[in-house]
Amino acid sequence: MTKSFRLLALVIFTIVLSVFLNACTDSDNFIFDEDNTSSIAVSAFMAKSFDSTATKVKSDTIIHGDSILFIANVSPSKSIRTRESFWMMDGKFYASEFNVHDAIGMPGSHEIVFVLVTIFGDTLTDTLHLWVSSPPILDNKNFLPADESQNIPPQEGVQFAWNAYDIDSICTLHYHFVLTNLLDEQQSEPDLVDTIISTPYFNMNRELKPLSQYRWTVQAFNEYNVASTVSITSTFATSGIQDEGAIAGAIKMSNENLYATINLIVLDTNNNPLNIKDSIEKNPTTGKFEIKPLTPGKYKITAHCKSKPDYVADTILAKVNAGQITSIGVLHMTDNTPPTIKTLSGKDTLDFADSLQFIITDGSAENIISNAITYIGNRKVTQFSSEGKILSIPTFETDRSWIPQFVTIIATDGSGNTTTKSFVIRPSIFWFDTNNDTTISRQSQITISIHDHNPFSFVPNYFRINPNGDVKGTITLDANGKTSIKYVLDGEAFFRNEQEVVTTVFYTNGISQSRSWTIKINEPPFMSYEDNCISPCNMFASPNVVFKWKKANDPENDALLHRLNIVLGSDTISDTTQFFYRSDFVKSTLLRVKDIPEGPLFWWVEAKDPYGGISPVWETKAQAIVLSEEDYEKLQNGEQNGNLSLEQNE
Amino acid sequence: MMVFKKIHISSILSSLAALFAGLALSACFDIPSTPDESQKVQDVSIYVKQEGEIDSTVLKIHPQNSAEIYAVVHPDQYSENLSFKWYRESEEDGDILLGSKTKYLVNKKPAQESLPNKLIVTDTEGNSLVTNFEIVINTPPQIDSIVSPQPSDTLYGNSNTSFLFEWVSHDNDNEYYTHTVLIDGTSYVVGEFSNIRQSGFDKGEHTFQVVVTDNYGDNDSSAVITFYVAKKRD
Repeated sequence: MTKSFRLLALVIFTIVLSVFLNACTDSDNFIFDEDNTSSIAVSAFMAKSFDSTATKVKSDTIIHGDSILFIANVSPSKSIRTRESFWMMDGKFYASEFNVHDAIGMPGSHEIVFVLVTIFGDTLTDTLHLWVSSPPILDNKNFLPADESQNIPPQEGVQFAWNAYDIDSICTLHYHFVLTNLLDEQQSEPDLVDTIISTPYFNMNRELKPLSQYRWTVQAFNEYNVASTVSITSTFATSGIQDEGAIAGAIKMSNENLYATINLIVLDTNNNPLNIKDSIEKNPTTGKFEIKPLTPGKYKITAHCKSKPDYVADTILAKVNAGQITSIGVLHMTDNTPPTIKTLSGKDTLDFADSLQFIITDGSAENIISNAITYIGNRKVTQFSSEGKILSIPTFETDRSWIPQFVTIIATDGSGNTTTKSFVIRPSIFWFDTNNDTTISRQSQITISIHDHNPFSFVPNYFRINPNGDVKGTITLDANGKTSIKYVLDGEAFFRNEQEVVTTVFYTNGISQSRSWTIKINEPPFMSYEDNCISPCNMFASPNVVFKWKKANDPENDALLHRLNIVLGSDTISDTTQFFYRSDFVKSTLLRVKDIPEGPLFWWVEAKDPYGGISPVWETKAQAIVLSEEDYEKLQNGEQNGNLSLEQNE
Repeated sequence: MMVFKKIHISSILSSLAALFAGLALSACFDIPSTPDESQKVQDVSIYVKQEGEIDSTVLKIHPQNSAEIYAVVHPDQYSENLSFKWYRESEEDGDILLGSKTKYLVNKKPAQESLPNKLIVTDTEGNSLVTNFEIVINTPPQIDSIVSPQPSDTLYGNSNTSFLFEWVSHDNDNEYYTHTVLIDGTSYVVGEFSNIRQSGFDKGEHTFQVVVTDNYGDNDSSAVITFYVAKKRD
């Protein structure tokens, strides 16, 4: 019993031990779990290059002799254990690499299969289809009608024919035929014909426009849609009515947006423009034009761009034949005129200012300022503004200098014409005072003063007044130890009404400094008996006379004042002349003077402008003979005409 | 009786053994078949011969000439002792025997109904082979005239002037026919056009010819026209 019990205990122990041992193993982890597997897949592609951006395709058509890349992809990786992998072409072994770059020489359809045999013997494949074809041969030299054919009747239809064949004779060909109106392709005749046909000829049985140019193109394709390497592009022109002809051409210019604004000009052989505006058709997009109908003869064709006059057209002589369109080719409009750059004053030297302004104009470009490059000294100006044609350049404090600075502006128009112009900015730190801009009468004087106050103890050597040569000579004045000078110039010394005066101080150390200022010369008013006398002008008058005159003429239309002068007895004027009456300068153009003694009197009027300019004494004075009141009244009543001239009454 | 029985059983057994042995041996021999009386002629080709030209594809004849229709059998060693029967088969009349000779002669201007379209070739064993075919009566297209340019014409113009080339042609069979234009030796297939225009001629002598071809390859050519191009007088 004890023995049996021991045996039973041993069995139980063994079972428990086996349970424990079993619990300690990880055999469960080695059980096949479908979720933990990854399937193997293969895919194949074709591409024209190794470039990652190259298009990968499963089927393609290439031209005979072209190389193509066969690419095999294996998922999850090409490094998995495989038995073998290879490519087959048309059922035969082709290559063993994963990626194959090769030129396929055999024309026709090919089936390329990538085969991968796994370690377990499974065979995975992916198939590509490739067509290798030679392009059709299209004869682009001989065709009907030949290039630039003329006199094609527009109402009878047009027959086109060409020759093409395919090296792979099994391939049938088809043709892409397009017919367009050369000038009017976007307007009334868009895409006249755009078709695919199987015959090497085409009958255009639709009526075309007379005296018009047409372009037709043909490209051949084979069954694999491989296009011929060349295509036919040819033009023809339809005939006109009776002997009418035409001229065709194309405008060519750097700014194609201007085609719509170009005016074509047709001249006869004597260079007389022909008024045939309605006969000119122009394509505003392409610049092509046709001038029709024209009677046969010789013409000159040119063009003008009103909005951009810098563009100048060639002049082409054209001979128009009956029923034909004469092509003059390209009518070039070129712009060889560079932009112009100038200051507001028109001078190349200008004063320093917070903002320097320049006018930049060009006859071809619209907004030329935006492309302008400006330097002040060596500093490139990066901030500027523009308003119309005016370029405004702000200056900085660092731009100030006691020596002249250069402003250089480089402007380039749309045609590439460049103007580089430099201006001088006068010193902005001045060591002397001089006149400011002023206006004087030509009859007056101006005192030009120079007062040096340089902070460096420079000693003035001499002073110079240079009215830019417009005055008689440059005036040089020795300083003689002085720091200031004054010099008087008559207004008559200035030839122009506005000019620049430059004053310069030359120091003994060789340094000089200049300032400029502008002087305007105001011209005096002008009066004469003939132009300005109203009454009494060579008349009898009563002792109470109203003197009337017309306002004086003034070149600057200044506001004028007038002064009446009356002398008795003689019209000779001298310094000692005794005026019977002399008024102040007044705005009025009439004055009443009473109690004038009987006898002859002479009168005239002087005009004075705000700058002191006074009109000269009339060369011929107005004359009146003062009668007594009674005589004057008799004269008025007896003659019934108080306006009798002295000559009439003599 | 027992002996007889033993003998009988043994003889039966021996006979069976001999039979099995015989059967076994007989299996080793190729027993010849019955005499062959099957078809010897495998194929029959129909030919048309007209004016020395032999045609076996389109089987066309020109009605203006006589012709002969004949058959060639394959293999040709069995061409002897064959009988040929030329029939006109139609739905209305069934088979009408037209001839029993090796060749069937066709007279000029035959009617389509007079031409055979079925041939039965029979050998001496009675095997027969039926061949259906269709003879085409085709009239070649014709160039009737060249309208422009006429021979020795002088055409005035410059190198851009397009000149008219015009002709008249017809086909009595009302079939589709196409033209090939040859200008200075360069040919252009122009389909059914009856005129074209061409420019680019230098001054001097040039040639022009038209060839018309129908669906059966029959064609007609115009004479080669020589014309001249001269500079247009202003």
